[in-house]
Amino acid sequence: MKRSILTLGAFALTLSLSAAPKAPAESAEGDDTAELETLRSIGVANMATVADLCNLITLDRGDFAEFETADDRCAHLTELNVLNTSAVEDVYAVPVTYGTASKAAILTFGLERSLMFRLTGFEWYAVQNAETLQIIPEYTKSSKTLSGEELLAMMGKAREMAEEKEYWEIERNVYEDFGHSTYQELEESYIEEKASAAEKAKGNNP
Amino acid sequence: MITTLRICLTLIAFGTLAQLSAAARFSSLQGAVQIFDNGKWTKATLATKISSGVSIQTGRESAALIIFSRGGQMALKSFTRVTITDADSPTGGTDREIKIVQGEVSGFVKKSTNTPNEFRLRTPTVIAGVRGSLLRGRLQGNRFVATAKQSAAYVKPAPKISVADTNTRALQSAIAMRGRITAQLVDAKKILERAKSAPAPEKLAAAQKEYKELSAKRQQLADQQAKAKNQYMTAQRALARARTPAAAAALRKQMQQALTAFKQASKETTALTAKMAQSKGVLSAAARAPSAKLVASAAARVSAGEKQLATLDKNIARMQKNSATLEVKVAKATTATSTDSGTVVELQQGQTVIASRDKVTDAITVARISVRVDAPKSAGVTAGEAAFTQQNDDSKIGVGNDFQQIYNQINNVTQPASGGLPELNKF
Repeated sequence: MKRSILTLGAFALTLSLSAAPKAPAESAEGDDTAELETLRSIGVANMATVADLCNLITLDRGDFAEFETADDRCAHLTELNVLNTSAVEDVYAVPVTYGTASKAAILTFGLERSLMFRLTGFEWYAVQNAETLQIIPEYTKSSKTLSGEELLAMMGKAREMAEEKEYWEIERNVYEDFGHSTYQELEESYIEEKASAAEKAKGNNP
Repeated sequence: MITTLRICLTLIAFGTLAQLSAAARFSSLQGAVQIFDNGKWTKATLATKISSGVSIQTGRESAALIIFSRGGQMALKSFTRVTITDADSPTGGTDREIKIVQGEVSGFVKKSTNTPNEFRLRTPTVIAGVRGSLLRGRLQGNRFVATAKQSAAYVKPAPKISVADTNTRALQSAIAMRGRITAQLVDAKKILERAKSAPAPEKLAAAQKEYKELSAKRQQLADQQAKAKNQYMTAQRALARARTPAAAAALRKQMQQALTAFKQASKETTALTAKMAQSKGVLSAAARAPSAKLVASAAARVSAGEKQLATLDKNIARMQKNSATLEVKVAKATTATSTDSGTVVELQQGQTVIASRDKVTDAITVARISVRVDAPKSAGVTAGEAAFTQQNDDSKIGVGNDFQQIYNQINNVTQPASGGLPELNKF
């Protein structure tokens, strides 16, 4: 008798757990684990390498997964004239400098270019340009190397600036991030959800 | 029988309540979103439960909306990484703190008069908070931008990070480092494989020669095909004008011969293309062959990386074992920060504060405050534009800046500052 009660009880628990409201199935999507892992792995580097820069740029461009190795990604970016790595033999060992990173960031995100950078394409002018755009600290040496965290921050600022440029004079509705168009709607949905949660809790209470 | 039913009902209620008691959940997910819970990163789904102390990361073109069970929502934009602390306030409201590592977060909590609901965005040096309504924060490197969207908010210096928090971060860093070394190892092994499969110099020379010959032959065949096609068309046109049956029969024979020649050439071209693909494969393998220096460094990375991985794995396993207790400590430590006092800067509705991490001192946390208005204050230059154009950047940007300043003076720039700083785009 005791055994059958236990069996029934376990069955009931399983049933209740499985019958509880579940979120709808997620839409099919590719495995993006590698992309996020790469982002995290760049963040912990004491000294960012050219391979890190290539990975980060391809991540932003959306063609990261198309290539097997960072070496291939660098070769691809060289073809695209975004980042010239033809002179770099070992992209995994050569540290990336502010000059290289600034030039790549400006070209990748299509940021505003100064006249001298446009004319010469020199990394030194890219650094001056990046300083004015406030994506790197002031008085930065072109040949100075940077850490993974600094590289992520720099590219993040450049990305942010590109987004600002895209949304120039267009008011962004922050409530859309929450699935609503106004603050009032957001508040109303909050009250409704609170009420339904309280009702559910009340209904389930034996 | 009644006892059995009672037990069943109790267990059903228990099971359902267990489902409802989760701290928070994802309301919508887009793109790549991962969650760091129980000492490892896993892919977030709509069914994933979010407990206190977890970290969430979004990738490119990704977004996540989180709904807290005790009220409040949080929206994460792309390239964002945060750690959530969802604690009960002693006064009965919610006391929520989000640590931003990078990216953009918007948080909403309902304003309440009797139970204060607090939402804070924390960076290593600055805390921006709101007691009800909506707050948006963006952190990129040392620049933190907080905007009070719906009501007043505040900004104050952040207290020191707790030891437990540091431990959690150390675990995440160790996992990230393992990911870095693993990725480098995979790349190094692929490079070594390519070096092995690269053709020998003699084979490469033979392939190059063969490819050249085959290309020439294919060109000949293409010429033959064109000639046959031409003959066929000429015969066809002549056939339409043929007056005697004998002439027509001769032309038909000619057409038939041209067609056979064309088909033969096509067949040979197909066979040649297959052969050429083989030679091209050898050539492309040679082109992809890594340099000797790269191969040597890849070999060195493989031997060193495997040793490093073994050490890291041991450390990670030890840290993961303690991760459950660490998370509890994190929750307790961050709850204590609510009582911490510091220099508080009031932030009015619609205002934006930009705080730089490297410029933060003890008392003054805000490096610059800029008011973003919907329309320019006057017909002329707004405060943001004036600050921008008055900078002396001649030594930094070169001739371009001089031209820009002249342009601005002539055209008397009237761009509103609502969408960001004015650009050099017009030039």
